[in-house]
Formats: sequence, structure tokens, C-alpha cells
Amino acid sequence: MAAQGLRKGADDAAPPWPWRGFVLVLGTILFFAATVRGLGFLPTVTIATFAVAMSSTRNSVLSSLVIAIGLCVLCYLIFVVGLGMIIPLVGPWLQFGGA
Amino acid sequence: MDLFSSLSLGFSVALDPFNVLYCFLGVLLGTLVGVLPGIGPTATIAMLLPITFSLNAETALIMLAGIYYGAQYGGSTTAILINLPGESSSAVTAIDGYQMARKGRAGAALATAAIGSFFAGSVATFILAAFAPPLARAALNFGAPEYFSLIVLGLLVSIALAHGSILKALAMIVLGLLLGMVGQDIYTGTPRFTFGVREMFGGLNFVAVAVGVFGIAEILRNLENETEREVGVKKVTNLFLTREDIRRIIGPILRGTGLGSILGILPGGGHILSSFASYSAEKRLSKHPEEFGKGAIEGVAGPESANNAAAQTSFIPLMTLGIPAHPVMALMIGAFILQGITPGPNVINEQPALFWGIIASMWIGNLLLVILNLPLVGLWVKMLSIPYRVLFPAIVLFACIGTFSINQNIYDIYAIAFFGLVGYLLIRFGCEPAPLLLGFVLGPLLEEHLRRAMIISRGDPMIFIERPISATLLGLAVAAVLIAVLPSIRRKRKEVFVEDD
Repeated sequence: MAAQGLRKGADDAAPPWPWRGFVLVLGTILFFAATVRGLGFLPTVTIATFAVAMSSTRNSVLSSLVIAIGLCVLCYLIFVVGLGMIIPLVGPWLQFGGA
Repeated sequence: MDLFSSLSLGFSVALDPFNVLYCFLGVLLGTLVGVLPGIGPTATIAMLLPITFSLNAETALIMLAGIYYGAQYGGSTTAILINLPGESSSAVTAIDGYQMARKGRAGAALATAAIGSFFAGSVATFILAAFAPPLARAALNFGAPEYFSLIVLGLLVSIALAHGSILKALAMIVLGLLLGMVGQDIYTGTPRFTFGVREMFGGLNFVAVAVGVFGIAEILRNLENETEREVGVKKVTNLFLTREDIRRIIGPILRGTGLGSILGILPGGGHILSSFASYSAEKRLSKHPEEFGKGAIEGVAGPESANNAAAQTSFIPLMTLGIPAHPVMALMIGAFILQGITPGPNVINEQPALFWGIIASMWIGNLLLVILNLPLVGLWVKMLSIPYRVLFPAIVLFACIGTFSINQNIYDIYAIAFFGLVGYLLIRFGCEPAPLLLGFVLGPLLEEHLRRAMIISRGDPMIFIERPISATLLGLAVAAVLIAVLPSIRRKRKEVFVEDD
């Protein structure tokens, strides 16, 4: 990977700054941190995955949605079912009147 | 305990069906991340660290070790088939391996890589088993001053071996040391660099830093210009080597194993250096140097053996001294600590089952890898067609959830974002993030031993020079730096790393 990085640096002096990646990837991580307690595991993972997937110019809205739902199921199976992680699936912000 | 009874204890641990399963999972995952460019063993182990928390110590470490050497195998498959090193140490394999694949000899190249890796892995594991116990015994005599000098030596050697600018590598180490100082002072409890945030009193989370600097930064870099990978060779046939091939690869495999075993012990990416060293050695020794770069089988056998041997022997400083040779080993230290074990010379006596279990599992893992890689190579070729755009959201999310699950601390996730940005900027400006992580891990150790030594000597720094072992280690450290900055060696370094580009 490092070798590849060096090669790239040598060929073209300045590849474009990935602004879209910056905003969406880093923003999503911050979003995840801010909402995972409040919104709960499932909604946060779905929204976060959708946003990250959109940071690639090769993903359309539809394919991002598919990735988001697929990954949400996968994360649920791995972390909650498989590893017994204790976290509210749907957080307090989305529950009304003692649901 | 002699070597054989120790090894039989190790095998009894490693052959436990549960451990074999996790060893298999480890090498499988390792092969997977090795095959897929864009995600390396460092980021994977960092993400899986929290998951291993729920396993017992032997199982967890067997699996993590499996990921590491599994990635060395997987990386060569990608290098041979699509001329893209899946892992930095297989960059050299790509030179001749891909040319062999283009000539329709992909099968032979893959088989050579697997045989070389298996042989080198087995021999190097034996070296580890034979040399670790006496080294650990010697290390038990080490006091605080010796440890301090040893860490200084480790850090300086890693600078000397780093690619590119020595100044940049030094800056990265110092930055890492500074980051390692965040949190409460070990003796007085004074908070340092915490900006009044209570969550930072315990120091920065190691996993968050590692995931950010290696995982997220790499994703950002890949988003710069997105290109789909092309798999040049769709089908791999004829894995068998001709008698002529076998005759040609024996020498390179033996030499590669020797070189790799020695260089692997050195700190600072010995496995990358060893594959380059082996390649240039083979080129120099060959009767047909003009064939190199055009599909010489020696150019696959030597470097592949070297990087696998180095992968195994780089466990030696970790298991005997508790000092990591490179970032992946630093993560292994993290794994030991998560399990409540202090890595170092005492592990071998206090946890013999763990120590020998890991070593024995390396043989089993190497065997599993051959089985996984040769017959199933078609499957790995298919894996290469998973588009990156599906892969990277998964990496980001796994990183966040995994880090959060360690101690349910929101600040750790903010730290991932911050270090992702830092890591990307560092790559962008040509600094290697690996020394930073090494500095970050060794910083607290360095400080602790320095202060302990100062307390012993009542503030007299001469203690480091008066004690013979400590003085020798410091002398070696100075020599390492001098050699690195001497003009003749610098030219040589350039030569070695030119083939990198």
C-alpha cells in the first residue's frame, strides 16, 4: 500500500482533494458518535452507512440504500447476535410514551 | 522445561478444536484482507481487537496472529494476479509474479509463493521457539535503565530503516511520543494535554488512533481517484511445478528464509525490507539477471519466503521483551493488555500455555494457509471482483462500532475521525504513519522506565552509561543513526527503495 502511495505521488503531482469523502466519511463518524446512544443501533448504522456509501462517486442513491440495509443486517448479526454487544437497538429518542 | 515438552504443551493448546477453529478464522480473514487491496492487516487487527475481548487469551492471540501472517500470504495472490500488492511487503512479488501470470504461468507463481511461504514460515517459527526462551531469560535481568535504552534503540533503528526522509520519520516518532503522553501523569496524577476533557484523562484510545491513522486515512486516500480493479487472470490452472522450476527455487527459498528471519527481528517494518533485500540478492546471484522483471521464478520464491520468515520472527521481540517491532506487533501488545497480560519476559513463565500455544498455532496456521490458498485460489480471484464502493462503508462502520464497544466511550469515536484526518494529511505530505504508532505505543513505556531509572539513580543520568548492557544498547542506537545518515549508506538505501517506485 505504501509503495502504491509513493508511486502515485511521483506520477501526478497533486491528485484532487477528496472533499466529498472528507465531509461525508468524517461527518458520518461524528454523526455516529453523536447519535448512537440517542437513536439506537439500527437507525444510526443504516443512516451512517448510507451517508458513507454516498461519498463514492460510483454509488448511486439506490445502490447506497441497498448497501446500507445489507450492512445494517450484517452488523446486527455480527455485533448484537454474534458477540452479544449490549446496546439499545432503537434508542430513547425514537420511543414515545413508555413504548 | 526443554523444548520438546514445551512444544507438546503448545500443541495441546493449539490443537484444541476451538482454537483450531479460531486459528482457521484468523488465517481466513488474514488472507481475505491480504487479497483485498485497500485494507491491510493493521486496520483489520485494530478493528477486531475489541471483538477478541470476549474470547479467552490464547484463542484471541492465536486468531490475531493468524490474521497477520495470513495477510502475508493473501497479499501475494493479488500481487501475482492483478499486479497490485494487496499488502506492502508483497510489492516485490508483483514485479516478477505478474509477469509470470501474463505468460500463463500464474499457477506456477502461486504455487511457488505458497511453497516458499510455507517453508519459510515453518523454519522461522522453529527459530522463534528455539531462541525466545533464552532471550526471555536474559531479559529478566533487565532493569529499568536497560529497558529504557532498549526502547531508544528500537525507536532509532526503526527510523534508520524507514523509507524516505529520516527527518520526517523522526518527526513522526516524536509526534507519536507526544500523543502517548496525553492523560494523567503516572506518578503525580497531573493531567497532561487533556484540554480539561475528563474523558481524555485515561489517555487516547490506542484502537481509535490505529483505526483512524491506518483504516480511515487509507479510505480517504482511495477516494481521491476511484478506479475499478481489473482482474487480468480469470482462471488459474496448472498449479504444478516442473522439475526445472523446483531446482531453481530451492536456493532462493533457503536464502530468503535466512535473510527474512534475521531482518524480521529488527524494528520498523523488517518484513518489507527483507523482501526487497532478498530480491536484490537473488538478482545479483542469478546467472541470468536479465530475466528479472520479466517473470523470473526466483524473483517470486526469494521475496515471498523472506517476508513470511520475517513475519514470524518479528514475534521474537514482542514475546521476549514486550517491545513491538512494527505497528501490527504494537496492536498485539494492545491485545495482550486487553486480556490483562503484561507482555514481556515473564509471559513465558507465567503463561506457558499461552506462549507455546501461539507458537504451535503458527505451524498449524501455516498448514491451513497452504490448504486455503492453493485449491481455493479461484475463490480468492472472485473476491477481487467485490467493488471497493461496497467494501469501504463496511470498513468505516465496523471501525466505529468496534471501537465504541471496547469501553462505550463516545470520545473514542471522535478520536477516530480526528486521527483519520491526521493520518490522511500525513500520507498526503509524504510522512509514514507507522513510526507514529510505534512512538505512541512505546512512549508510555519509555517514560515509565526513564522515570524509574531516575528514581533508582536519584536523578543521575550517568546510570544509563555506567551499566554495561544499557551502555551497549545506547551505543548500538547511536551507531544505527550514524550509519543511516552516512552518505554511502544513504545511496544504498536509495538503490534499495528505487525498486519500490
